[in-house]
Amino acid sequence: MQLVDIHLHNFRAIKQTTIHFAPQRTIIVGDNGTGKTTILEAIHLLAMGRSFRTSKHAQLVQESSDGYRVMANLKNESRSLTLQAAGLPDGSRRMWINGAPVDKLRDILGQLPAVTMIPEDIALLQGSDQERRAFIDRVLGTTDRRYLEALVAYRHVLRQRNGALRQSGAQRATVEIWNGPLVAHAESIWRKREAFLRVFSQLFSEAWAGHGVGLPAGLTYEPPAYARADDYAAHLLAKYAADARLGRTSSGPHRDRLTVTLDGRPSRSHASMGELKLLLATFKLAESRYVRQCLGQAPVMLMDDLFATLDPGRAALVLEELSGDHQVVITTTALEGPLRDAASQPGTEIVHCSREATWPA
Amino acid sequence: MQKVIQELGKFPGIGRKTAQRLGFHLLTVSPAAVAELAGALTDLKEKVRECRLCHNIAEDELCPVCADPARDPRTVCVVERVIDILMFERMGEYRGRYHVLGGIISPLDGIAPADLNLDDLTTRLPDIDELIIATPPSIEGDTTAHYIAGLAENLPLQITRLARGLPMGSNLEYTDEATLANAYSGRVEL
Repeated sequence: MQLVDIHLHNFRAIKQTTIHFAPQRTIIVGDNGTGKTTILEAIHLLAMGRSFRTSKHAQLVQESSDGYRVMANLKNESRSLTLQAAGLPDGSRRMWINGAPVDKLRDILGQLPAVTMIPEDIALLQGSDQERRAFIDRVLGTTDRRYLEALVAYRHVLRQRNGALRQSGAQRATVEIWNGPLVAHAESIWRKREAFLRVFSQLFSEAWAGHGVGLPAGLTYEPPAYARADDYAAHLLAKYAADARLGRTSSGPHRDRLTVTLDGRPSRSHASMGELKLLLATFKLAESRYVRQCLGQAPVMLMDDLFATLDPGRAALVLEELSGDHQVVITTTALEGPLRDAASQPGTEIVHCSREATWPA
Repeated sequence: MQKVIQELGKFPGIGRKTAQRLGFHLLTVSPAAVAELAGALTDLKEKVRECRLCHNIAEDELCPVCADPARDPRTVCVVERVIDILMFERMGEYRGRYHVLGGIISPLDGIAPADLNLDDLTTRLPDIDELIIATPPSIEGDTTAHYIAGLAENLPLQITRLARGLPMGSNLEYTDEATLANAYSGRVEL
């Protein structure tokens, strides 16, 4: 699916604006605080059903307005599609596909495949394993519905089991009735994560090799040693006393680890800032290839503040890599380096953001 | 008037506007009709009690189902709430008896197995040939079903669970994947 245009109304600081996208590249240029990222955020909202900046939905509504509306038109060779979202100051929101209301938010996933790269994503490399688990969950969750269902069910059972552990006078039997469903959902999460990482780490290594850096980089997925249904069931029984003392379940897929290595050492502690930024771009390139493999269409690439993440030379290589079948939307404060070159090529649209243009009085 | 509207507004599904409408309606009906309603309400609390055997609502010690000699005492259907019995009875096919749990296991809502009517279900088990578990198709309903099956583990009775599948008159196109997956794995031979 290709983005044709997007219309924003009372969305964050933007009162009203319409942006048209080129089939290949759209470069949104403007000073800080002119609403560039907000436009990407609106696209992301329609693609993923949520913002990449906040989990508090009310923050998306422009102050002193009665709610926002966002609408995008998409098309491919055979059909066109309209995605719409509306939110109220109380944080509630609704979404529509071609004017028909969406009951479950997960139904919107996959309509507009998108990969987002924002400077804050560097947490994927510098942050804890939780950041990388969230990455796996997001990519798998948007490409494999059964995974998303298993994940939602697993978390639900986990909350119930933890609730049972914290219940006053908790008895072993009332906690362990949750072991069966917990193990079943954990098993499908582990198998799907394993299969995903086999494919994804291959794509990651290939994308890294394309950068021409001498050192090899890779991903190591480490589920706990008990990551098999039978072993996990036995492990839960063995850890009952510890879990009861903690008041929560101490083992499961929520303890999986994913390590990024550079030259065989964890990048988190051993990579330079430049290398970390390049590893991030590699993550995103691998993600775009994975999404394309799964869904049969290249995702739209949303790249916020490109030069905050990549130096001009690297940015040129990444843009080169994405040219062709990816539609790319980039924000930048200055049209320089490879973006200046790209701007003069056919298939590129330049959008200038300014307070006057995006926030008309 | 204020008091009546306030009390009516406490009912599930009744908002302030509906409560007002019902209140004003009561002003227009005859004193006899209001007395009849008031009497019925008082009777409800005085006369209706729990069936000693199955926890259904009853006027006597036993509910009409448990008191009916034509109902098979060796087949028992386990339901979450009394209202579920109403649905089964409306179906008209079921000729066994019931057991009302009074809830399903959910620690997050503070409901433990000890809060359900499970002790007297356990005492009924030796006299039962088939136990039909009709808890709702949810994570909590499934867990409760497995817990009950565990209670009956070493007894010579058949335990069944309601099938889950496609609703009548529905369209495959609008069926969610979990329901379809359940219907698929529970497919039956023609």
